[in-house]
Amino acid sequence: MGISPYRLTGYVVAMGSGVGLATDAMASTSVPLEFRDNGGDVLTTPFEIELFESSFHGDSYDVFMEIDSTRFKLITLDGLSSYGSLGLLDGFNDFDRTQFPNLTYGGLLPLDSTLTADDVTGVDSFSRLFLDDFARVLNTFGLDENDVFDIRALLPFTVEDSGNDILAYLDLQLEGTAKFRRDNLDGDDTIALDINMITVHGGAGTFVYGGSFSDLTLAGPTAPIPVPASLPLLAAGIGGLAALRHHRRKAA
Amino acid sequence: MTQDRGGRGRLLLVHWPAADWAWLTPVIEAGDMPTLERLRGDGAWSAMSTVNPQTASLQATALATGQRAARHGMLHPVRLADDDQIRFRTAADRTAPALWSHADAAGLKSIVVGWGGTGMAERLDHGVMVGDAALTATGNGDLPEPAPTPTVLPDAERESLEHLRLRPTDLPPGIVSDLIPNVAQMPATNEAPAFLMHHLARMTSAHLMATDLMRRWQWDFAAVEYDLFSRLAPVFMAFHPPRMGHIAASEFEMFRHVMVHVAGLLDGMLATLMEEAGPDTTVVLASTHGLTVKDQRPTSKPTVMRAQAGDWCTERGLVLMHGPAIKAAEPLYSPSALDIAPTVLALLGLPVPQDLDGRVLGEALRSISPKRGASFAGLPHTVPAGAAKDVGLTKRLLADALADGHVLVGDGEEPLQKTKAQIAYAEALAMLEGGAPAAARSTLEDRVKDAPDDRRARLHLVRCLHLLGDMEGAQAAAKPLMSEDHPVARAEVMMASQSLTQQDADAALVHLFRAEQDNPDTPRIHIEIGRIYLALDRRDEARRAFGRAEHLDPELGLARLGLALLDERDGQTVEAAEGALEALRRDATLGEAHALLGRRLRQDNKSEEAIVAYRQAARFMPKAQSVRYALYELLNDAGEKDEARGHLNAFIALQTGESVSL
Repeated sequence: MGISPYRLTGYVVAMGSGVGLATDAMASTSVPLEFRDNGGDVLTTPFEIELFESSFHGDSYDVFMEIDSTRFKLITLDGLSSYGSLGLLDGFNDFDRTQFPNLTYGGLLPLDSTLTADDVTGVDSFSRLFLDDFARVLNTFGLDENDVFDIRALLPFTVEDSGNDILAYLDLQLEGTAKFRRDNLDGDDTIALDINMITVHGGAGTFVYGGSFSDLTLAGPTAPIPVPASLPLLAAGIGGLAALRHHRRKAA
Repeated sequence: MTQDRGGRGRLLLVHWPAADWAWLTPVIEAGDMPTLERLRGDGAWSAMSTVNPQTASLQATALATGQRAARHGMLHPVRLADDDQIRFRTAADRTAPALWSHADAAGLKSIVVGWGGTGMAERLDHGVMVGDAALTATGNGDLPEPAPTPTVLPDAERESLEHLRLRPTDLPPGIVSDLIPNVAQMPATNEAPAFLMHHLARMTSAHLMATDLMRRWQWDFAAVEYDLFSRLAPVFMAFHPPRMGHIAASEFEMFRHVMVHVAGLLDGMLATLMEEAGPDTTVVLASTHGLTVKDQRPTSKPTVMRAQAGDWCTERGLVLMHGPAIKAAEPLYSPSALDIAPTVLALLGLPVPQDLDGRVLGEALRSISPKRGASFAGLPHTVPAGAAKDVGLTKRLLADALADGHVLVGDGEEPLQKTKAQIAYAEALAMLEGGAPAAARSTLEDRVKDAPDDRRARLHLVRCLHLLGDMEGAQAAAKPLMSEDHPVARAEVMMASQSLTQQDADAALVHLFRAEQDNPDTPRIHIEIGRIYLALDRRDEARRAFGRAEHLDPELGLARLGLALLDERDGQTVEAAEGALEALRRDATLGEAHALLGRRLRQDNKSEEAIVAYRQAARFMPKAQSVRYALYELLNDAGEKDEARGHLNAFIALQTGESVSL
């Protein structure tokens, strides 16, 4: 299938404890990573990784994924282990706390790396608070809240090192394949990539970010909304009554 | 001729319920509300706290009277009459005079259009009034059916304004497709387009009548309500960006621009009003509450039922004042919806009755010294006798009350009894909020007895008993909430506070932990949680709670203050001082923030500045002993012996439990 000419059509943002290890693994391996669906079938293999100079802890990477000729940018937010562990994990010292005023909310998360959202009290609160900082993080990628980033889950994909050692893998639960396999995409099309749950498994831990991300609507820049022509007629008050009536008669 | 009021111009009061900066600022910044943007640049503006309960007529009346519901009487849209029948509350039920009554009594000419909760018009000797029940036009003929009487007074205006009452079918038909793309493909069962058109027609009618009257009448004071945001929000705010998880993408695309377009429309209407009013007019724009945004929005099904719209409301509306009498860019000190009426009276040059619940926002007024007036109770009532018995008006009000869900539909006795209980309960809550817990007690006890699983009612009862000093009763009422698997934040916080008083820190922590698990969406609860954690010196937990409060309400000064106090304890004095300054930007009345700055300035040997900060702290916290003592020391060193002695005396009196006056 190969990498198609660069055309960004969506974003996936991965975050959580272990994502740094995952991207490190992707960056360091020469073995192509694979997307697999639930049944283990390989969907597509192309991957391209660029080192991205991050303004927060450690390095992050821009990972461009391509699924059925649709290209996605995988943004990994590194350093977030520190959120969950109050800096008890490696790297905290590099972490710029001033960017993350809600940092201590991570204190609700236990260090036990095997827990999931069902077990962990406060994950929801934590992740909701995280949204504040998340918008700021996105700015470093040239994105903002007007960018659409829909979040809904149906079909899990697994990105993993296909070598013998699974250092880390991303388990991204994405919306159904129909979304990705739309035909006749052209350069202006934007695909709404719906993710309800981003589960990031890594060497350091597992955190599940659930439904509280559902309002993150970050997608390509939105054009200014044109003002409907009829509204000024209503706003004009008594001075515009004749025009309003004329418009009405004309339409009738 | 308008009355000579010392050269003051006209005053235009506009009510936009459900407008708030949280959701409108992005709209303004996107360039969709140029009028509001300009007014913000040249005026004084702030968030404004609400009055509870969040019932539209109750809030609009509080705005117009400066009184809480317990005194203004509009406890609920409907009431139980002496004959045990349901009646609709109108201006006739109001027990406190509105601004237009004050203005009329002083000989000022008023125009009032569509004010919430009025229903009918009031007879003004010098003005004209259109009650909100006149805004809805019905009928299939060339002209709508006449407005019920007496919704327009004086009578002569009823006929003059008739042609300005529009039905949805009188609007240009392209409007609905302008606002809702692909509306033609929508199933006929979808009520949203018709609902939107109904309210656009109502608002256009109000706007046409207001601008027509402003053009034809000599006037001093105009009050107009545009309730488009609050009416439409329970249906369309769910589709406002960013998309909520439960909203289908197709629906989102269809409705996503409605609220922004409506904001643009109201902005355009405001521009027209101001043009009609003229440049010498002072404009006061107010909103009694705001709307939840982003992930704080409820995920319940969008509804046209106003009675179920409470989840969409926040406790923070907005106020913006602009014009020759207003200082530009002046911060307002924690304005409340109750402050609007006294401020408008001051701007009109009228006496401000001393028993109003609110205050004059004097910090934003240029060269105006409010006149203090006697009690508001002496003013004559301006509602025509017997007006509420008009059949047409009753039908109109009934239709509105049914449509809004304030009256339950159904045959037989059961819906009637349920409606009665609903009214009694709402009235009890209004009394509780109005500082009359004794009047609310028996109704709340009945409610809890009838519906023991109604956790919210139980909480209100707990609070009521708490206010009445019946601690044992409060504890007993709260007990079922404690044993539930799912904690109830308010109850847990109350119990934590009580445990703290009893010096049982462990029990307090358990209650706080449970309170947090409830994850309440009310910022004030998190502030309470944070304060108790602070008292227990559990700093991380306190920081978490204050942070959560700030997340829920980024303009909440108390949240920033809590974080600043934590920074101070952690030795981060620079951050603490910056935090205190930011807290004061949000709310200049936070005495603890002034005190924090005083401490910091004193540390830096800036005694003069520290005195200023401590004086402010004492102004807002007259009973703070540490503040009094610090002032004593600083002033004594500065040679201000008399004032220093006064603070020392106050300090001693506070220690011995005597009353203190500043």
